[in-house]
Amino acid sequence: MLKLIVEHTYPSFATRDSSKPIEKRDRTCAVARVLDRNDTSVKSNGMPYVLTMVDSPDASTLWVAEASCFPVPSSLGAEEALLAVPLASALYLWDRLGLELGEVAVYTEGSDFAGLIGQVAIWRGGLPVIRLDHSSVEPALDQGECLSIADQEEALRRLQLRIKDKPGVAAVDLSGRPEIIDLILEVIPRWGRVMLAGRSQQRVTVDFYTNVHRKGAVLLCEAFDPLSILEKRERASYLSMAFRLVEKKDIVETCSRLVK
Amino acid sequence: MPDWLIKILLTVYTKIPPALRPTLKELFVKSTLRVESLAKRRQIIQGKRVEFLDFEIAHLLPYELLGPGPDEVLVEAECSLISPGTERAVLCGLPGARRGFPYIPGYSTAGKVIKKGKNVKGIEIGDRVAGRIKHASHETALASTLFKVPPGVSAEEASFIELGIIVLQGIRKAAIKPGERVAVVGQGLIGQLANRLARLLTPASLVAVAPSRNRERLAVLSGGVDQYLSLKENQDCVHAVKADVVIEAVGTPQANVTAMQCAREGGRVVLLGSSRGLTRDWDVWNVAQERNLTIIGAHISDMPERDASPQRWTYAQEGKLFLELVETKRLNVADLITWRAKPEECNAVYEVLAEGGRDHVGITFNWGA
Repeated sequence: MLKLIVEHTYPSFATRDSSKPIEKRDRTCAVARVLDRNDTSVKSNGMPYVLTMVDSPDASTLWVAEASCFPVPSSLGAEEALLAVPLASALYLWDRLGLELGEVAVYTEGSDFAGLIGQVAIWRGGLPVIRLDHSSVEPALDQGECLSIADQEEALRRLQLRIKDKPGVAAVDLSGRPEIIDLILEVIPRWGRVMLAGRSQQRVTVDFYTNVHRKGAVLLCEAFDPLSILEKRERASYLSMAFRLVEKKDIVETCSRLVK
Repeated sequence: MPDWLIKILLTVYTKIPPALRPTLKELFVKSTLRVESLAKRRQIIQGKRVEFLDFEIAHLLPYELLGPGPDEVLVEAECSLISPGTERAVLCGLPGARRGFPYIPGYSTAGKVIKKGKNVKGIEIGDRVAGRIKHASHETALASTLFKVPPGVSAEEASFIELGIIVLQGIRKAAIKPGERVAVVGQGLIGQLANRLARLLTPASLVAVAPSRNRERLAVLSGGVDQYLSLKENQDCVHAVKADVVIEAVGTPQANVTAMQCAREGGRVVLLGSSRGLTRDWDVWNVAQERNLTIIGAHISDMPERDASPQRWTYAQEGKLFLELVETKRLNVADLITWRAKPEECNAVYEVLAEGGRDHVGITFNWGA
């Protein structure tokens, strides 16, 4: 176990997601210094700071298993290190969906991280990257598109038109809303990949035969959690990719804007 | 033409004095074309095209071709792009690229449709198209193999179509993820296109590795690499690259090993350059096995004809995507052209190419000029 003194936390990650289980609502990630027996700062794998999960945004000193701490490259500040966590989660999400250069990427409203997820799709070469949204208030990302779903039938028609003739489509639902899930499953073409990542509060009626079985579609069912990457087996590889990205000023600026 | 007739004609041909052969051959070709023209009711079109007459000898020569068949269109070329690796290999008779002469080079051209066959749908006279067409002022092609050039994409840009597809299929196989470190070994046309396409996938770092700094200026332009390493200055620089993904874009047997040396342990190496010849003395254990490398072959001929699958799109899909990337200004290729030649200059162009291409990257023939 390592003794840590927390320097920065990102409280807003967890607390604003009211659909999360109560016991997880306060959990967040933190950048902390490692202390030795004399409470003097020491380095972990040569790095002065580590990234870890904490049970409360107010935590100050805690003991954490060494395996749960990720050294933060010394080139990064605390803010960048914290941004790397949701970024790594978004990288993981599109990797699970296998989004390729030139494929259509569809994502939805329903998460404070939707913008970041859309941006990562653009960074992966998605073309076009389409946000499904009830309102047209949310501005489309640079190089992204926004499609209003206020009128379901019109949205279906326009989305079908946009997807037509494209070699591949990957979509993520972050809303958990039946009408959006329905729209995505209806529009997804052969071999489409869909992630149901919103916390669905209602039951959904799905024509599995037509929209999944016959299309050879892949349905990934989980809930998107911007911190969950820290608990996944693949965390090291995704965190290191995210750390490298947030070393770039323009990427930090974009992520900060989208995660606020 | 049936085999027995070819045999008889060849026997007759060998009995003719050599001095008379070229004239008689030309006469024969013209006569058969006219017979075919009458039989198929297709007009004879006059054009000019580049021909390799022998090793390192290229000329622009007049030629005749039949007008388009039912499923074909006649394309008047605006711009054709030289594929430096393949064309140089044929011109110089490099291993793996031996062809008979005369040889008609070229396979990446943009132009305008001036005639179409009766079965052709979706392409109209006056449409701008691009595809696998030789360096010729006029050429017929199956309409189904061509791509319509979107408005806003110039003929010069569209002439990159085939090279773009070649590189796209390799980049796709590389499966680059945002935040990965990427290296491109070789900075010729394929390498520079690989830089630009890899950049679209947001790598954490993009490093060019090349024999010299001759092509550095182009490589570091907007949309290009972050760092440029010259092997001439430091042969051992490859070991410090440690890239997650390495794109080999040189096309020599030794470059395969250089690319592997640039990879980190567990990295992926995509063999995109056509490395004709044998890679000798490959230290399999130290270079690849011990470092758990994944080596991926990527040649345009491996693309599926139908039905794409993950990391394997069809030729038509990649071509359409290439033009879309150019149209939406995500990909800039025009600044990779370093020599806009007239077709009449083909002799000089191929002389330079035979010498190794000097500092040139993209060389086009502008047919409309």
